[in-house]
Amino acid sequence: MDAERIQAWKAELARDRESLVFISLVDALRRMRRFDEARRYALQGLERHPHLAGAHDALGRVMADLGDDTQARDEWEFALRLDPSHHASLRGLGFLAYKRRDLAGAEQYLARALHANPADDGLASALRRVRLELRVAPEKAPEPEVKASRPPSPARQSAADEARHLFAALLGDGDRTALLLDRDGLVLAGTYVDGSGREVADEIGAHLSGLADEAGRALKHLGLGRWESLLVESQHATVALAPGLEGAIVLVAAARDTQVGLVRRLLTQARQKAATWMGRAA
Amino acid sequence: MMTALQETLGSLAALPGVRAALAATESDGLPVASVTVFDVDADALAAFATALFQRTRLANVSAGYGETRHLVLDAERGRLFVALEGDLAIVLLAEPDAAAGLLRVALQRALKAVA
Repeated sequence: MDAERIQAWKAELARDRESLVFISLVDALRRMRRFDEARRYALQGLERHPHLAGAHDALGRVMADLGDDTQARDEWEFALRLDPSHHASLRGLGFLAYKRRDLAGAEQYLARALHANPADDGLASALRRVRLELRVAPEKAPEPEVKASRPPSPARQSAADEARHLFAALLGDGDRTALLLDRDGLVLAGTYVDGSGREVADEIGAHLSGLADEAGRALKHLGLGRWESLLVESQHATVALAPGLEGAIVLVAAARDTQVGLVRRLLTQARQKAATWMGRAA
Repeated sequence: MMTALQETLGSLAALPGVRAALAATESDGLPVASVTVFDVDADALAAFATALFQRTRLANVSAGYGETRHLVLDAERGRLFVALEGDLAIVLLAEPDAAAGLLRVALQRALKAVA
């Protein structure tokens, strides 16, 4: 259990303030969404180990969780100056580039991260999706950063539009939205807008990143088998989620007055649509 | 308070198809009280259910959907129900064919009773 390990790591740090267990501690606190505490331990660790790439990465992750992308990027870039092949920092920078829709930058960082750790299946999946959006052949060398600012070609724009509007036909004109996220919470297709029309897909993805894997592990431990769907009722909406291909998650949200049965039906249809699209894109 | 909570959980655990009923704090995922009909790892169930609730709650906040009230997770061999009041989550683990409507209402009533 994380709670027990957290106590053990805190005790070790109290005994030995130079201990590197702060990295594991920060990670566990992040997983429990205790971000302020995680930031405090990350800063303390960084103070004692300013030349350790892992220490900058630990703080970078916390800052990314807190939505401070600028500081997260600073930490990860610093980590790369210390260790140019630091896998987690490359991964983090790739995620941030994707988040700001710098697909070429994301492709470059994710490819380097995968080169540093070829066994990272989640990363391979994320890179495939980025390349799909870019319509770049997998073996093509990363483009120099200066080219990242070019306007997208018509083919790239068309692929991005297709992904964005993947679920539009089945959702109709009602107050509904749908999204396809990969196992790391990166948006693959669809849109997610809040009541004021603001696009919040990346934020939703960040909160749900790793959910499918986490649910899979916990349900296995509890002897419940695979998860099939998740229905969440909130004050203003009903949200339904289901697992997709390759650890992806399909999500449908509808206004609270929409019948739950209809939301489930939309989820089934969105799941089929996502599977077809991912199969075609693979 | 603990007696009332334990009694409420006992009533929930007696409903048809329910395998476990427990209360846990959302902030740290630790069980406060539990009644398990069969052998269920209450610690793991509490940690998973509260973490899942927390993630979906934060996603709903980001989307501007307001307070999250209830969630149901369907798995191959079970259904998980979670509802929250303040920092207290009540979690039910039921058989896959358990009546969702009935359990949902019972869970909401139980939550009001112990809140």
